[in-house]
Amino acid sequence: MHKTLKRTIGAIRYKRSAKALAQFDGPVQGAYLAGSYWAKATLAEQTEFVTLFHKMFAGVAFPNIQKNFTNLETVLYSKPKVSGSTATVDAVIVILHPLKKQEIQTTFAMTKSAGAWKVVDVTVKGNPSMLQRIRDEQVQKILAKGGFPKLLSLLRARVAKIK
Amino acid sequence: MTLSQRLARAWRWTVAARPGTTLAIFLVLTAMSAWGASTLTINTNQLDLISQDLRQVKDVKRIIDMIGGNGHLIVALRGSDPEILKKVADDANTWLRSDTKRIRNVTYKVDVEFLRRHGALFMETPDLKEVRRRVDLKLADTKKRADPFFMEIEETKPYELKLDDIIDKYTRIGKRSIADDYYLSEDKEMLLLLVKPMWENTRLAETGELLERMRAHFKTYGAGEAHGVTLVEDYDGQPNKDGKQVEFGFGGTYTSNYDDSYLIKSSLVPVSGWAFAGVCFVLLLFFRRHILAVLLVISGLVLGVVLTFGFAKISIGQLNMITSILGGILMGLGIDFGIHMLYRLGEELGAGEALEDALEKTVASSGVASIVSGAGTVAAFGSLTMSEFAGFSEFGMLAGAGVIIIGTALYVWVPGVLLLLERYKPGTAKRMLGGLVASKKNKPAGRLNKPALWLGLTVGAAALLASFAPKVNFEYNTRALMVEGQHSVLLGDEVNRRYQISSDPVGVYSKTREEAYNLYKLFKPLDAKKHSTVDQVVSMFAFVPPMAQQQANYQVLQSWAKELDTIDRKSLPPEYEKKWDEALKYVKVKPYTIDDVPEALRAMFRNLPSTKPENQGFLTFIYPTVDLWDGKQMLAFSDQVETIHTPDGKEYHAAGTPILFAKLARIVLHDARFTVGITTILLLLLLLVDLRSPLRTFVTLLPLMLGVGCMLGAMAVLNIRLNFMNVVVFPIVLGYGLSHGVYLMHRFEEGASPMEALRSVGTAVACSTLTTLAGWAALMAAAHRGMQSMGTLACLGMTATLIVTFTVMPAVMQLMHDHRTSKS
Repeated sequence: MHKTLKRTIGAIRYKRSAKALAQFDGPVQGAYLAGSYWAKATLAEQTEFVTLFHKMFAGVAFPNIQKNFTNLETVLYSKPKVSGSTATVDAVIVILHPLKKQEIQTTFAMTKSAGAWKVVDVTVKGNPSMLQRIRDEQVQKILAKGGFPKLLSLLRARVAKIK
Repeated sequence: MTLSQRLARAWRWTVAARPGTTLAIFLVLTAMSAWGASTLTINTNQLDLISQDLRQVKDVKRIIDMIGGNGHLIVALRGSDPEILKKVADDANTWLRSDTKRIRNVTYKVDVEFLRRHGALFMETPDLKEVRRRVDLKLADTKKRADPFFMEIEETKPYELKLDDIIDKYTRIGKRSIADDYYLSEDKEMLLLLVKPMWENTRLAETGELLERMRAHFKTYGAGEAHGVTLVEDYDGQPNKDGKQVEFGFGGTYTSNYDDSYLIKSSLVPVSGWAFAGVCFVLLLFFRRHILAVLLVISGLVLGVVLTFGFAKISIGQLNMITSILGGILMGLGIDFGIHMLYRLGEELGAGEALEDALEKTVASSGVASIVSGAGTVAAFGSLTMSEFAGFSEFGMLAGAGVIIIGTALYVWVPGVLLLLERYKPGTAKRMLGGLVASKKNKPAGRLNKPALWLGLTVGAAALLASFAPKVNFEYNTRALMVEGQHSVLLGDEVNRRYQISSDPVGVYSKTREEAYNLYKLFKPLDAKKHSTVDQVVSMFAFVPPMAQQQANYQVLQSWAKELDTIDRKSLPPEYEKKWDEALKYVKVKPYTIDDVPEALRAMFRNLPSTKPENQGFLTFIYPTVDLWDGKQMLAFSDQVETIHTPDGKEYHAAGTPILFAKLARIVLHDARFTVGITTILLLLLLLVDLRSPLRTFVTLLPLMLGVGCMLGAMAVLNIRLNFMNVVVFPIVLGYGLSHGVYLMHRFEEGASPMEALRSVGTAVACSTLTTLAGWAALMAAAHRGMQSMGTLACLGMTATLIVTFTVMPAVMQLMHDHRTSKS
């Protein structure tokens, strides 16, 4: 699990988005975000959702993370807490700013898929998790208004804006 | 022998019999008076003009003892860069404080950090909760967006935290902005330094000297271009756009008091000059070839004025702001005696009389008439002596005495010089005055035809104009009396606008802190009906919010602090960390009492260490909503706050310039009515004693009554208002306006027909009125509008009485003369 996380963080840090996204379990993320709508969506819709979501993730979240990682000193991983095919790993991301040291306490949620551990979600201490926030504040509201087609259309528009 | 003839004979035996001795004594007295007059000072302390026993005066003196003076001398700095303003203010403060002889203290910044930090306790609880709600939303939004894993499908804008609508309600505590320690305006374009000189604001000479010193210092400072700016005195209300200039100006109670008096004083020389030039011009116009006679009279007049000022030295010892203008007025009034004397003397000499006999007859006729008319003027001035306001009472005393002194001086000097000249060069008097009044022995005077018709027309016209008299208004706005665009007033308006403060407050003294607290509570909340003119009440308790509110807000703040404490400080970016610590300070405040308020803030409401024990205590300041330049509003404000009763049965009194001026306004309004009434009664009695006939008294009074009526009617038509300054002229118009009728009636009583009387006395009346008019008209050239209004009222009144004298009186006298001749 630590290796997956290191690979993920390293890929994001060095702008290898594709490699980083490969460490994420898209379908599990999609199911979490869309809830009951996921099962009702077609395979093509599900696939498109994952693709678009990951493109958005790479285009919006990765640059923010890269900015934070500019002065990354180290990441301290705790022992994973495994529960069947899911696990959580606490990590402290230590950033050495010019004037002070910042420690971001995070928790990574992972699942085992095809024998490999993949990253599903990440939580910064004191905040809701990344997927929980997107689901509760955005995805569920969009789905309630216009269903999966609406969600996909908005994702397409969002991705189109990303340079 | 009639009384007049006996008086004239007595004068001849005493004054005329030994002219050399008489003149020598006269000149010695004049020399002594000149020496005394040269040591006269002008007391510019306006507070000394009001009775020192008045409670209002004692209250103000207590405040002066407590805090070193009533009001401030404000130095205002204006510029586009507040940081530069602060630096210039720091330098100005250093220089001012170094002058320990003149400057007691300078206030231009107060540490208000304590108030800022406890600002949350000042808010009304619902406002505080709303602030918390909005801040929490902002915090949540910022936290969300600071999360490196944050992303949005539908992009939203960051939550915009807007608190101005709430914060703006609380940026001022106790009339003081807490946004900055410096006395910066809300727009940050002006900074004030409140200078407290070592003396009170009524000491005008010292204030003037200090203003000049400051001007000179700022000029030197500005030339050095400290902080890259020049310094310029300016009152246009706008900062220089290029930022390379800081403008300064002077305002406040000290400056406005000085400016007003300075403008009056600086008007005196040109006004006196115009008055003198006007008098000389009129005299030359009427006397033409008889310049020597004119010079003789003018010299007597000047000597009489010197004697008057010598009298002022021994009686009062000093002049005040009002009596300092006496010279010009006395010249205009006193010349009348000389004019009537010259005309009558010329007439007698022209009829072939010897000088001594001519002089005796002149004294018996125009001299006695001059006594009566002079008595009327003295009565008018005398009525002013009963005023509570020393400015009026001293003016009345000196002016009344001056009329008597000048009249006496002229009737000693002119005849004395003529008699001496006659002794050494016979015929001099006739050469000087011969031909002044052509002999009319063989020339019939004629008759006024249809006197009844003429009377009806003239009285009708006068009555028509006088019918407008009730519409005359009183100008309560004292600003209308000042010079337009007076700098200290302009700056005062600008300060009020930029700082959103009203006029200078009044102070209420209380011995103990508990009393001060009770006073403060009385006005919380303000009773809009009972205290409609009150804007705000400020004491040191204004810096302590009500305890119930503090406790309620403390509950809100405590729970908020708990919530904020859950946020991990270490997870914050470094630029937010410092702000976070600062923000927590504001949230973690606790309720406090007056004892926790910093001493620097509390000291603003307490006496200085140097205060006498009986005056030590606390001050509560009451700010008005109304414009105190408006006399009516000033009176209303004074009525509402001058006496205050607290629920515990104690009585307090507000003190300050508005209260003093309200008292003064009441004195002036009361005295105006009183003096006019008294003058009228005195004039009536005087005429009854002189003429011993109600009919002749009525006829003599006719020009005055109709003239004053026409004057008031003309004022109403031309919208010229009475005000606090020109109202003092009213009794003078009454006293002087009587003289026209007196001289004519006396001449008529000697047996002359109306036209003979007019021919004989009319020219003298016209000449004397025009010289008096010249004296008063010169006031209209003053920059001070209050002085202008005095000149306008006097000229209107005297012109109206003169016109009525030459139109109405001849008609009435013709009817009396026709009746007299038909009877005989």
